[in-house]
Amino acid sequence: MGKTTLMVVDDSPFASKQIKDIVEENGYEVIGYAKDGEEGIRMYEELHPDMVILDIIMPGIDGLETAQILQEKDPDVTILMLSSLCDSGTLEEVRAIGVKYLIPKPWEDDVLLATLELLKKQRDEKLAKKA
Amino acid sequence: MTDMEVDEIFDCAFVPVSKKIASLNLRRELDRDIDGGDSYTGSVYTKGKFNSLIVCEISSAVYEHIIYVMNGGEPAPGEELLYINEYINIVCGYALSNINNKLGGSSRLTVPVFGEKGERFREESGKSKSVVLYYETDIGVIRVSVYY
Repeated sequence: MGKTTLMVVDDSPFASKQIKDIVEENGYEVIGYAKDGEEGIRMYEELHPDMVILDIIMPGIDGLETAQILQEKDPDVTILMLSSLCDSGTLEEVRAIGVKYLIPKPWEDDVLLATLELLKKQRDEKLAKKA
Repeated sequence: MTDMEVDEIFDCAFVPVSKKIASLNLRRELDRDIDGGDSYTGSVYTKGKFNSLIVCEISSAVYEHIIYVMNGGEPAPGEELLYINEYINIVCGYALSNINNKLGGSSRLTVPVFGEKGERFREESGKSKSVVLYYETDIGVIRVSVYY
């Protein structure tokens, strides 16, 4: 069975490098890195990663809007949101668009990995039901 | 919000988050002027229930240290701003999350903007209240002004 593939959409190379370092040590493969929402949408259609890690605050269209566009294009897209803004109002906005998880920046590696594992499990179950 | 609450929230963001992401030990000191010729100034707005302008003056040694640590070495030419912007985004976002939880609303941060070395921030804040947080480190200083 191949590795679970990820795409990271974040204008910060700091976040992208940190994510790549931690997830690739733990059985995931980062197959794409986009620095804004527009590039992320184009890249998703090209690469079809298993999961997308998406920052909220970015130049151009923000992460919430990017998530909604990705969901319209692919209702099965699996998204994990990241943000330095992690208050209850932001979490409500994230959940209102159908994304379950929001990880705060700076994150704890074990929290990031545990959330990815949970998403992977949910995704696998969803795909198994469809099959 | 009172000045004391805003001060405490930003102080509780800058000190631990700077240590975690930039290995920077900030020591709070009484406010004083910063050497404008040897510093970088950046700004970020918060919009929503808490409207503010946050101006960060960072001495050049600290500015370079933050970028170096966050990148794990010298960044590629032209990438410096991406790291310093992310530093400001994470620290101010941490503070704003606490403010949002306290006020029960959802304010957003704009993308930070930094000038060249020695370039001072000239825009009027248009706000009536402000707090200033001045920090020393072993290599330089950070001065944060929050206008709200």
